[in-house]
Amino acid sequence: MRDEDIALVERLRAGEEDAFREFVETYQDRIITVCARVCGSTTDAEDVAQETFIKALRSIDRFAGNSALFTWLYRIAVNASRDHLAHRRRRPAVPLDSAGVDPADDAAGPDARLQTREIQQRVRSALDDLAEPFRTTLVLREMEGHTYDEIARILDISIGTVESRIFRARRKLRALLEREDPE
Amino acid sequence: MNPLDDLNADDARQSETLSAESEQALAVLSRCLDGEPVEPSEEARARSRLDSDPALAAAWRDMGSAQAALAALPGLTASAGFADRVVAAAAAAAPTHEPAPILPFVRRLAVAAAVTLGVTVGGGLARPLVAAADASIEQAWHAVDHFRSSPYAADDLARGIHSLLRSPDPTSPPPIPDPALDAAPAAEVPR
Repeated sequence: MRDEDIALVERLRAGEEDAFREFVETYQDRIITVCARVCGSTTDAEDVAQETFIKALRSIDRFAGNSALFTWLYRIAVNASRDHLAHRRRRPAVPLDSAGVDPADDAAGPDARLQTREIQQRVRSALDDLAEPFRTTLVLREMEGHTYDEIARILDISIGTVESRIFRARRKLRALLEREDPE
Repeated sequence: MNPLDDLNADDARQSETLSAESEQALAVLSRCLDGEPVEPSEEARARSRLDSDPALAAAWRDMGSAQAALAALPGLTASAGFADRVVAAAAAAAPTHEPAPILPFVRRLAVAAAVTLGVTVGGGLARPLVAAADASIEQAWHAVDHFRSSPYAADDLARGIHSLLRSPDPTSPPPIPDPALDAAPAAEVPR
């Protein structure tokens, strides 16, 4: 664990409010992103992210420091997102880009922005069609840049399973993208 | 339908176009793509196969383009005031440090102690009373035996009972006079 993380964990355990704010501000964008990708919707991503941070604060005494702080936090986020998914099965999901949280590419022209948005929408749609375990694994790898070892720790699976899931998810994703864009 | 069934069907379709060796090579290349450690000889074998198998080369290009499409998706940013809301929610959700969980335990402990003490003391106090009652019963049986053996004992027994009823409690109302007993001659009282 990094020295900064060790110090931050100690301050969190001491109940410092400033430490908790620093903790949230450090990881909020990445946690909201992973929650949105795993859930397939930005609508509830901030709620799930908030739940993730509060759960992390409550269980900070149980954090043994065997893995990096962010690995531990991602694990809580993935589990919270999965719980949310299970709970949401009874009601329809709102598409990922409808909430408009993604930062717009202001430098590009209107046509280029539209084209980029269309491509992104297709990719998101294909991603959402993947089965959850494969989607989560692929998101942690491709969009969050975690190593196989980190993903294995976050998801509590073997490295071999991580490798297999990523491989199969990539192939399936490509098939889904081809289906949406036969040209 | 199980979403994994769909994935398995895709695996089967892709396996039809790729040989087992090319499948294995694609898996090795996928690990290379992620920067995961791969044996140099294994990587060399996979890359060599890439040059000789057009189906593998196409699958590899597809995999690369899917990866690039995903990597190009922008990350999200928290809305303004997100951290403030989380800090406030954490403060609101913080457990209060009331001794509530301890109170019922202490109360239960006190009740258990009181019951134990009551049973112990009550049992101790009741023991002399039980002994006294036993003695009285024994005396009564002696009186009954005496009554059976002597014709005068009946009056003696009745007088004894009467005196017992009259004497012990000063607050009790006076006994109703019995002329038959009061008129009996003192000499008839057995010693």
